Amino acid sequence: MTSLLSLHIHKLLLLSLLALIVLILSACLGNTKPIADIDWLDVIGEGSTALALGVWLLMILRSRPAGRVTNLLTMGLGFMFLAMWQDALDEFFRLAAGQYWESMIESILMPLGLGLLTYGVWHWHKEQLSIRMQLQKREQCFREHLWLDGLGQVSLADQVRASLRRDWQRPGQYQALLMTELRGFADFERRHGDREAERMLRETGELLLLNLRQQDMLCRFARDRMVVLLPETTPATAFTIASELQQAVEHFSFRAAGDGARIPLRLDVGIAVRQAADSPDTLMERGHEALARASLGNGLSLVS
Amino acid sequence: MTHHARHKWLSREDKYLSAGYPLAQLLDLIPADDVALHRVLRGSGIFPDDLMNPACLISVRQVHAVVRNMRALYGRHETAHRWGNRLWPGYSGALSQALAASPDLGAFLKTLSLGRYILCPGVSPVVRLNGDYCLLYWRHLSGSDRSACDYLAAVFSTALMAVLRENCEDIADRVLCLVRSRERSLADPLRVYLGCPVVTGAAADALIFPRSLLNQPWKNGSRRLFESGLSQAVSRLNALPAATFPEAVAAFFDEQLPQSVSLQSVAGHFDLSPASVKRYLRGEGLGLQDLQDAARLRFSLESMLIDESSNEDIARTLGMGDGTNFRRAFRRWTGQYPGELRERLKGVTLPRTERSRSDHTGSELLPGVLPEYGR
Repeated sequence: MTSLLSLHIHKLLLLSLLALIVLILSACLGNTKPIADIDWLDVIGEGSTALALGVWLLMILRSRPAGRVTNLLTMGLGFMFLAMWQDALDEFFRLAAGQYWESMIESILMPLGLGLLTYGVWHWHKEQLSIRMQLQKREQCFREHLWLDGLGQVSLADQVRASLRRDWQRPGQYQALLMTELRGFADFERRHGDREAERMLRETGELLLLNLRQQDMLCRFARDRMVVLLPETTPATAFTIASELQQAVEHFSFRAAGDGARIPLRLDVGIAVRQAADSPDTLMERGHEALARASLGNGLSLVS
Repeated sequence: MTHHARHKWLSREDKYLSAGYPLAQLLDLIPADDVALHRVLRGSGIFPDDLMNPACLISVRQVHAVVRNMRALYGRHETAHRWGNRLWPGYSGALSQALAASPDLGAFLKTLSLGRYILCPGVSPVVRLNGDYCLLYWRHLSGSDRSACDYLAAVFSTALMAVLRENCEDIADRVLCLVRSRERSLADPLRVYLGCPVVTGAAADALIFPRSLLNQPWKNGSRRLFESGLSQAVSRLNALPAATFPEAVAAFFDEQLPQSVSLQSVAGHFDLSPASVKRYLRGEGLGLQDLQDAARLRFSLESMLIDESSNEDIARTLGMGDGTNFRRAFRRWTGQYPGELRERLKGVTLPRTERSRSDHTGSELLPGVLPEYGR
């Protein structure tokens, strides 16, 4: 992946140029203070604030593509950085009376930056709500970046466990769990290699997400084994969803790299339905058991 | 037993492994959108160009450094399991030929034991027979690299099961996997990749299968190819010392079980001074007590799992007095009491066996598995 920072080089260059101009102006129009007159506490306080603003800006630019929200956040943090930069330079250069540009930089850029940053954060909030809609089936109520899976682009099984533990006491929650696996995936991986296997995982993961309801959650347990949590779902509905997932995967045309040949796919699905004496672990365990039966039989098995 | 004066031991600092394989195969698992190869090689003394250089040789310590980095950076990408899934027979010349053409599991394990320094660097396979069962332990031979050894044990367990699946029908209920680590990122995937029951926090890394599986013919086996590969491999391996010092000491402890062995006895057996024994082991990151404890732990584990012995029985056999002493020692070895492990094993059934060799009693090393090359 190309570094996102490369999309924002011009912004960083402009900000560096402005910071340099401010430095040159201060050096040319002011007199250097003797070491004894420098208040080092102010230097540390104002300098570290400017530095922190610069680091925040870099981190935001490294993690965001270009766009309105990024521009607003950049301008807000950039103006605040320039104000604090000038404030820190004050400690080294003494400007003659009547140099109003210096106080203007500090007094105007800081509130302007704060305003733009606030406006940017408001848009970022709206953007997050939109992204959340897309991620809902992957994360439901938790977000933990360490659980994000590098292979399937869904969350890892820790997310399922956390959701199960959190909602276990609520009556009617997570009445069904699907455990799915692609039949013959290990052979495919050995024959076509890791890169193709990763692509197959990503693409089938997306396909499964498209075929789930908004309230359902899909996570990857390991390799091609996926877990689907179905809240407030009767066994009959769970069975229907499982069959639909199987059909969707069977109709999916996954094409191998190179000759583009269609690789026929088949999904085995084990269904576990929550019982009164269950714990989150036993429910997961029965999911594995159901999947083992499904893979030995016709690909669909319900263990209640 | 021969004495080992002036014996050249293989050390984890000896550079004898090819940098290209299997390390390049592991590094190939770095995600395609990440170019952080230097981060994985950091601290190992290996440079990207070394992977292309057929003359470049690396040591076990360097492999462990890369594995440690890989685990820290990409552990969640299931690299251990994916690496293991495609590891064997691999590209190690005659050894790989012998692995690929093994006519049965016994022959495969014999090759694995023979070429262990090349095929499974730093984690040595130990095959033991106990009643109707065969137990394959991954013996950690580097005390300071426990994280790397846990990772490698997962790699080799996955690799062996991948080969077994290819060659035998219906093995899911004929193997039980024990995993020392309790970390979910290692254990969860093992269950899927191995396709057999997995017990985590089990105090040792081992695979247990029925003894009859050793002789069951394999689909892709060819005795002629196997024997030709094996004889070529032996001539290649003659250039290497026959054992690492910790391994030789561990084997001595195994021989002496259930008796405990003093430092003087070990020193006498290897014709070394006690200080030299300690120094050699320290150089490998281990102490004598570590190896003694590991041997006793293995014995206890087998007694609990296969013979279903009580704490008192095990304590008596090991000469530890009463059950309380054994419980305390077991906790020191594993961080858990024997009862906790029994709880973990509750509901786990040993693989089904066919009593093909019911005349056997006691435990022993698989005959012919330990190689005699290089002596």
